[in-house]
Amino acid sequence: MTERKIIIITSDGDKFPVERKVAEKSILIKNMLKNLLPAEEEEEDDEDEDEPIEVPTQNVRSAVMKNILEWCDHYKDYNFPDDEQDDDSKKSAPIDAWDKNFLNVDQEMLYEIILAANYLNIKPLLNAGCKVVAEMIRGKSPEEIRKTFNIVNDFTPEEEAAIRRENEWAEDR
Amino acid sequence: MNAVDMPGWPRPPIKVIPANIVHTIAVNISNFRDLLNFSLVNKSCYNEIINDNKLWIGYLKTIHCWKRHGSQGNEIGKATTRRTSGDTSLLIDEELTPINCVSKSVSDPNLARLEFIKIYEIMAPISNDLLVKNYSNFQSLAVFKEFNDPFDQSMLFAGIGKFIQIYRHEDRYRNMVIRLNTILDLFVTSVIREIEIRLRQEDFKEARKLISALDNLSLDIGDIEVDSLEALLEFFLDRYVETYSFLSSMDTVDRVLKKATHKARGVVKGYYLDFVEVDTIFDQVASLLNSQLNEIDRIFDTNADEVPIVLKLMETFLGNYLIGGLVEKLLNRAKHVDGLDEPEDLAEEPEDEKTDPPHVNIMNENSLYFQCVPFLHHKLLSTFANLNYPQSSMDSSKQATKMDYYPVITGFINFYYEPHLVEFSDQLPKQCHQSLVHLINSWELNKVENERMLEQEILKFVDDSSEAQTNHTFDIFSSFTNIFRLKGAKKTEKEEVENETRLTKFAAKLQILTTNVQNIKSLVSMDLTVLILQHVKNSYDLLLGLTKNSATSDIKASIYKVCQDIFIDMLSTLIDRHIKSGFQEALTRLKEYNPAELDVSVDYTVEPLTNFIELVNVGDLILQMINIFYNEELVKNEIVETKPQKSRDFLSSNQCEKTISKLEMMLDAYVADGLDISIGVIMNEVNMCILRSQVNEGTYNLVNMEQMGIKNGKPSVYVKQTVTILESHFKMLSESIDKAILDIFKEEIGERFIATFIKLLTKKLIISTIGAIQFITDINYLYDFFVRYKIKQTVQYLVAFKKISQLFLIECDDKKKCKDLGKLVIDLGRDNGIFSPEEVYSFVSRRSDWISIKRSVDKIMYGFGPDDCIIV
Repeated sequence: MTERKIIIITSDGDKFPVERKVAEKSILIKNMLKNLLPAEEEEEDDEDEDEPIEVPTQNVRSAVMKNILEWCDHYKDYNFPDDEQDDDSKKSAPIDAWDKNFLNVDQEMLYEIILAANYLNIKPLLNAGCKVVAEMIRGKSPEEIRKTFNIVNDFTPEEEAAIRRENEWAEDR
Repeated sequence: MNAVDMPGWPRPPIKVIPANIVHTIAVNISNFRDLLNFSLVNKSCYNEIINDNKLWIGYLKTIHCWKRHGSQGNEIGKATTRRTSGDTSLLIDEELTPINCVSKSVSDPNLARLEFIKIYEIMAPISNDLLVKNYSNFQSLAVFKEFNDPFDQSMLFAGIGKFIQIYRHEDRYRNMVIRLNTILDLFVTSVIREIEIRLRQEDFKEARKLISALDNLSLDIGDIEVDSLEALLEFFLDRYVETYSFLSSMDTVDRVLKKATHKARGVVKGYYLDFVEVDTIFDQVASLLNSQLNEIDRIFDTNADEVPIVLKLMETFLGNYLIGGLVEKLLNRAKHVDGLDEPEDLAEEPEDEKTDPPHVNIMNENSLYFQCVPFLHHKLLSTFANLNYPQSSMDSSKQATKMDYYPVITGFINFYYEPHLVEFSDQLPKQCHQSLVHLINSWELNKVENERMLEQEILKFVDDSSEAQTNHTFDIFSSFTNIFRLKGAKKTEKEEVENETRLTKFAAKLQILTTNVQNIKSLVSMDLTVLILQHVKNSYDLLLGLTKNSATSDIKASIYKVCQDIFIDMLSTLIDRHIKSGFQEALTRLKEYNPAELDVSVDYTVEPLTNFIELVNVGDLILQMINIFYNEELVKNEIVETKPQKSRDFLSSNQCEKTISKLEMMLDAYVADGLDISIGVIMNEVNMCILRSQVNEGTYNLVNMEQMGIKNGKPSVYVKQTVTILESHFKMLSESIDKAILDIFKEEIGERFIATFIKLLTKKLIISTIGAIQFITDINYLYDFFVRYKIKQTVQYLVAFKKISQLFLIECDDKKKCKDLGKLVIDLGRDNGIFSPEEVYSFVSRRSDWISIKRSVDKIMYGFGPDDCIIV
């Protein structure tokens, strides 16, 4: 029995036909499919069997989705351990070499991939992306971080001064 | 790349980063300062991070200060070594100091950030000063001036050790750990030096405090490598080692294994083991260890800390000094001495000074090694059982349980003693065999006088082993008697009058055998068997006792194998050296028995046969004892694996059972041989009796009634005596041998008797018509006897003889009567079937008047007599 086709539609209307197990790397899509697809036994009698299932993803544009699906395809046969692991061991685990290369994109794309991974609920990808970000933050001042990621500073100068004072305890003396 | 360098940023700037992304980034930031900088990028990010309890709990967990609400115990380090404040929850108002802040636990998620910051504020500068700025002398740091007490300082170090875990994904962590480990080493060394000084001053209170300080450092965190327990242990070992040195000295060996001045029991190749000296040395060991244990007890709090110290100290002492030192040297020397030549110049022991040293017995009197191994093991166990161990308690889960040192120490003893035990068990069968042979030989040589001495000898074994075994000493004797009684008791109800003495059949037999029949004892002895079995049991006790607490399954299997070998060897030795020769001697005596050489005995039984039958009983009892022993000692203790008795056959039986069946078969064969010979012997006795009774032509050739009157209707003497002989044997045998065998035996006797009787009748007896009455009386008497003993074949013969006897009763004073007689001869020869006509004819020819009537009778039978043949 052939598997029903799954087509992911991006916010800008592009369609990506994918294998089910690739699509299911996203917990969001996996849960959607669980609702959309009939139970396995009934599948045989389904007359619409050949009709592909379309999955719309409003928040992800085509260029980003292309990357996301590349990642999902790479890991389609790999089962990630439950995400219940300690935050602490996340910190210690070095970033995977393939991930590192995969995420070697400009900051805009990196941030969009992280947003998409967060939206699509792909925890390993989200974590890998954030790890790259954490590495980029290393040794930078808040201002430098803002610049790097194009983040708007919404503190007033007074507020910022107050917060700095409040955090003096953390200065290495 | 930088947003500034990228004109025409296609996306609008980021105002709010989704919370989940902030969290994920935050947990991936390894440097605490980077986290703070990240939090400051904008308001939402700042709020996310300061309110992210999970994040702050993570930091508390890293420094071991988080405790999930309601969880038992604590998350920190070794469960057994925590003391005092380790798991107290943090109170908000409590003042935090460098000493206590990292030893508190937080359990409220909402307080996580606040408390972490408090701890960070205190500990980060200290850690930085101590481990990064790298002061050459840490004691000069302000914080160490403030807290100059070693206990406080140990708390501080423990706190630093935990706190610096927040740096462990940073580059500087490695150097921090190296530095901390170096400082801790110095610190531990100085504390131990301090302990030593305090102990010298006997200031136990202060020493105890210092030990608690070291205990605080029993961290099990990250890469902090200081092992204060190990350092403490080394300290104690160093401290005590000198006091152990006498154990390694050869002088001590010389004190124990001494040169003998003259020969004596237990002296081997000119040397002897001074048991008293061994006691003295072990007493010395005990008092030394007690004083050291006492010291340890006084400087440790009543908690588990001293347990590893005590155990390690004892193990090191046993392994390196006592067993690994003295005991090994002693055993090596003992083996060496055993292998020496017998010195020629050693004087005989003066008769008046003859002593019987304790612990020396037939098994070890010729080997110092065999004297040493069990005795030293016994001394080790008893000495360490009676030490004054500290009253330590163990915090196992909730309840404190008292530490029981002895079982663990026993484990050590056996572990280090094991090689000697294995070697001992390898050599035991040989030694056991030799002493067994010795036992049997001295029994044979000196029989009765030696008995008591041997018994005491056997019992002497026991004093070396532990007390528990003492109770078993007589078990073997009592279990035998018990079982015999029991067996007998069942039969008692069936049996009748005889039981006046209330002695059961078995017990009675046993009594007879042990009291009356001295000469049987000399052939095969039950007492000796009991002694031998006790000897084997002693060997087992020695082996099993030695390995009781240490046996691994491998050792157990090999020990059990040794036990089986000993059993088989014992049985083979008993058979070959004792039972076989006894039975053969008995058979020889039986064969050589010649009634003619003996006086006419009052007793009508044949003495060698009586002896032999009693010997068979002894053999049977020995077999039963061995079976009981086998079941009690080997089967019940699981030394042998057995199948249920019912399904046991030759193929499935084990080597021990095969040896037992060998004995069984041998006894059966001796019984068969014995009976065979006995039949001959009994018949000789019968023949002798006939001879002695002077049976002759005149016995039935009576001429008048006066001669008849003397007999007065009684059977002839020879008949009566023959019956008495046979009957007494039958009676005796019916008690002692199997019925099937007895039946065959009786039939054989009956047949041989009939043959003898026929021979007597046809060759010797002459029967007159008056004498025929006596003949009939005798036949009836014999008939009654054989009917009584249900010997069918013989009874048939006697029935036939009853008819035959008519041949002698008929008066033949005229032709007609002769004719009747002739007809009778023909009839008897015809229908009876037992006797052929020729035989009947030969019987009738024993008539006293045969010569005169022969012609007439022949005529009837053959139509003419030989006299009618006229040679033409």
